[in-house]
Amino acid sequence: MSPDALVRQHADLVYRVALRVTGTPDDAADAAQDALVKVWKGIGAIDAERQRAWAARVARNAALDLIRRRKVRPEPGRGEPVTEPPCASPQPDDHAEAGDLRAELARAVGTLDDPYRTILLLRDVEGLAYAEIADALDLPLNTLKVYLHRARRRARAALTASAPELVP
Amino acid sequence: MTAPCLRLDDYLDGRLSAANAEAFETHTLACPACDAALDQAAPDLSVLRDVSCPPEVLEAALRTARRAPALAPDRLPARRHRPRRRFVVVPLALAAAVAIAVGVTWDRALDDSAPAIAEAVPPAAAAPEAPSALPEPTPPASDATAAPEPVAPAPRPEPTPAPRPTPPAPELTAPADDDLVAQTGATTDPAEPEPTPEEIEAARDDLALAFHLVAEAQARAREAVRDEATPLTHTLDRALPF
Repeated sequence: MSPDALVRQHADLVYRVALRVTGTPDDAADAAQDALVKVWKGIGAIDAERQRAWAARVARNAALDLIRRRKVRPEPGRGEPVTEPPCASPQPDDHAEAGDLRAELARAVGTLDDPYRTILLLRDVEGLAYAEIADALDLPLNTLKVYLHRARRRARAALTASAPELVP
Repeated sequence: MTAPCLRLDDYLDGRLSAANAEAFETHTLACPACDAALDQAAPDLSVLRDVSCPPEVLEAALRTARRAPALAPDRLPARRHRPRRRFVVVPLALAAAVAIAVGVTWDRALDDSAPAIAEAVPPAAAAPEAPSALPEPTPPASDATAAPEPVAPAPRPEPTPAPRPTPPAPELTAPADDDLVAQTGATTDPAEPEPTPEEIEAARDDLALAFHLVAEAQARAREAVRDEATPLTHTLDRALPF
């Protein structure tokens, strides 16, 4: 598979990671663009089964670099995007409701610090396996599982305060 | 079910102390039932997956990436943020400023001394084949410094048996400000094919990237100078009695 095709395959994942780490669509676009260039250059040397985790790692690092560069790291609780990007496949009937739901969930995820935010995103949004996330974040597997429980509990607490109907 | 399993709800509701919460998290590593229960209690975040990478971001990244191998490694975005770069940028910026200042002063000195050099050199020492209507060809730097010396026995007794090659006429008649353009044009092979629009666009993008990197370096240099100057100012304020 050509580098262009691989970049297109992982572009959405890269952008979503950048969006959740930076907190704003503009910063996410900048970070995602930097990350996609790096993915294009390096993904050919990565084993196929590790490419998704590696792309997520590159996206996270690019987003954290951008935050450090601009020194505008979003504070916990205020990290939600000012304008949530439009849905990929909007449905006319429930578009507004889905937008509200997404904004609430994004706000709850935005209350978490890194790496909890990234772990929650990679596991519960992107569906990466434990081993992939541990590889992407250089964490021991047991530490990752503990962090994931902690991240879910904190996101649940944030939702309980703002949107309890979303808490299982 | 063991005793720690009974703390599941307290853990989820945040009623455990930090130490007890940590102990429960460790317990979940060896308890599949608690681990599964925590999975079921997690909020459903799958709706956050309904966000796609904007096409313009993807295409811009692909355009940049395809040009990347032609760029020097230190001009790539991936290498923009190097550690301790500010300690390199500041001396480079100062060196560039000094070089520009010296260059301007040198050019002005050469311009001012040109008539004096022409007067100091006797007519016999001038190149005989040079047309009288054209100004003196610009000599090499070593010649320019040696010419004003009144005692220069080497060139005087010899009637210039080996004349130096004279530059082409267009260079001699070009104004000083256009020297660079004229020289650049003279070294271009007329048979060389015109650049394609893609090459022009790529060069324009490279130039834009270079300007971006220079602007970023300037910003970092300003920040570095401010970071270094502020503690020094505070130290001086404390040390000096006035």
